[in-house]
Amino acid sequence: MKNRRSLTAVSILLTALIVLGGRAFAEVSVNGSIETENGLLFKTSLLQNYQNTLGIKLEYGAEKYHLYANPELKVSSLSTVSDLSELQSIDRIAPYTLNLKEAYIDIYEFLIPVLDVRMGKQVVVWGTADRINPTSSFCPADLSDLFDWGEKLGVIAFLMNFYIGDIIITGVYTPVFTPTLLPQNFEQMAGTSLGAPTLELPGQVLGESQQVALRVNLPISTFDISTSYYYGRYSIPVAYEVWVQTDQSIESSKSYFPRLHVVGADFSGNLFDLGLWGELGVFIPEPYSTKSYYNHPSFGWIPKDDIASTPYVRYVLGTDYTFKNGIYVNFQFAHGFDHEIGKDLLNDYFITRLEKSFFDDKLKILPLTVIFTVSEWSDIPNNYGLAWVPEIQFFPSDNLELSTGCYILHGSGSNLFNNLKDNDALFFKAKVSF
Amino acid sequence: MKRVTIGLPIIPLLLAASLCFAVDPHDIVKKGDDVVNAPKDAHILTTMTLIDKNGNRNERTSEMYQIGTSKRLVRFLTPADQKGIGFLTLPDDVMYLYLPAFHKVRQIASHVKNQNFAGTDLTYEDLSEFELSKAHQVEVVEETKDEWVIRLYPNDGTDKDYTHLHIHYRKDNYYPQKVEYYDTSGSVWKTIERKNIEKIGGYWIARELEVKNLKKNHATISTMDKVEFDVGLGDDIFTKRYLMRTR
Repeated sequence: MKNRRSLTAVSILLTALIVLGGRAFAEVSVNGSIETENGLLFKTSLLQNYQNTLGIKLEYGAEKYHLYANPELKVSSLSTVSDLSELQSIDRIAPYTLNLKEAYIDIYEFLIPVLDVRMGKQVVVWGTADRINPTSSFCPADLSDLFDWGEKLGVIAFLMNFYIGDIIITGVYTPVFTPTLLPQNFEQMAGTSLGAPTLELPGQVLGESQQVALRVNLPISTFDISTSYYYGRYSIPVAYEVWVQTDQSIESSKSYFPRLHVVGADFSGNLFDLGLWGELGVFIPEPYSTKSYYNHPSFGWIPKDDIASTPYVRYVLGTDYTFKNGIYVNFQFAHGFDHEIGKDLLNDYFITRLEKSFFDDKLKILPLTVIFTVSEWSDIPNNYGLAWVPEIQFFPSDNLELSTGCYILHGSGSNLFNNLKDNDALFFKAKVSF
Repeated sequence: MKRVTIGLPIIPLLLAASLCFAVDPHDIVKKGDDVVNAPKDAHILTTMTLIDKNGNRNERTSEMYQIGTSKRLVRFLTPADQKGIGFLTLPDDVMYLYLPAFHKVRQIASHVKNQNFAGTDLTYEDLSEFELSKAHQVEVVEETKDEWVIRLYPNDGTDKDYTHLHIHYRKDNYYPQKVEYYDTSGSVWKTIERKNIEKIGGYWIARELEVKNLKKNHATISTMDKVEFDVGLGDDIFTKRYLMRTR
């Protein structure tokens, strides 16, 4: 059904392009990429992420408007056939998804010279930090690939950019709510089984689903400064009713997407030769009640009520530098990740990346892409996690990229990387752009 | 007596040299800047050919907008994996880079300025340089029948990827036809040669620019496919707003 909707949307867009006129259509630029990705878990030799992706970028630009569409077809090589009858279905033999990642129309100088608008499905990225953006709440996170963090899903929205001198004021509105795309092993990632979870989406009426955000950006000296406000919902479900068994396992849970305000600020620029950025989001959830039921051996289910409304702060500070010999180093400290909700659940993350290119940038080695997290500072040896992703990238020619590397996960206690530590894997990727 | 016999022939040589270098080198560099920056504005489509030490060639196309002596916008049109990457130079050494894959414009920090721009042999610094005369101390090195060779030392406190430059200025029009970059060992490590210099719309321009990195044995040859001068570009092009626009 989802694929059919995406296909319909692509058809509508193509039709719109054709309607613009034969001459215009002839000038539509068609780019894209074909990518193959293959992984293998070290411990179990389990094949992972065997998938091929075809992404198409259709584009038409004129003086006053611009059209863009990015449909993506993803086909897995890992069959999900479970009985004989499913051998008749290509959906099961080679499962695929068709997703319209973005499809929008830009109109420049709309009504007044200082106003540009963008309408349609789009990725709205705010914030200046490197991939971890606490102020960027408008579009839900795409967590389908945990190591490709910072990816966002497109939402159908109306975006306006006002330009007043060097100041850019951005307003964006969407009438619909889109939840986060979770990874397939999200229960393992959370470190607990969620029993039989049920989920309530916001009603498809404006009052329930709409979201709005505003941002003001201005340059000051060698820095770009922004402040922002978002009113919407958590895009990751939050449990409001949990039934906990005597052994602390979760029997069942009910989740929904509470209302949320985020007030943000960010800066980026350079100081003393260093690239420098910072980003902060104050998360203010609207009060929502939570109920936990604990199964007591003698007294049966004992309820515990709570009201969750405590504001909390997520922030990122980062710096980067390129040495004269071409070594690039990037360091970030983050308090909280996209999947962490609530003051008590935020962890600290230290993220480094080191890159060095060789042979006229044809070979790039990234030996130190490391994320180190601490979930309890008073007992670090029992509460830390580490993800190390050494990688080699090879660019034999323009438009061709080959890469290989591995995910090494390690840790102790309850945190993302320790929960996934049995998932050390080797990966290989190849991508051709056209 | 011996000293006199040696000194006598030197005097006319020194006189001749002083006459030869009677032209103020700073004036030559300034006039060179003026010739290169003479158009009120420019829009240029370029094909860049990158040649590695094995002779392998990669091609990319770009467009460049320039107005006055402080604003320039460069954007890649091809290849597909570089399309839309844009670079904006503004006054006071402010530079922005737009990477479409990340949907973000970022101000370029000083540490990046001597890095190569998107695999070419041109650095961000090269792309943002407008007026050499303002950023260098100068002296004449050599004068031939057709050109002056001027040595340029960066002003104190500036961080460049060269100790000094030798620039060859044509005598007939002050056009800087060759630039040699020297490193700390006194060797030339990079050259820029401007070829096919001709007049278009009343302005001198090199239709071909060849940049050679002698250390890497790598070259970038830029050929101007389309050149437009004084087309009435507005300041609105040299903004983050325009940098993010796809063409």
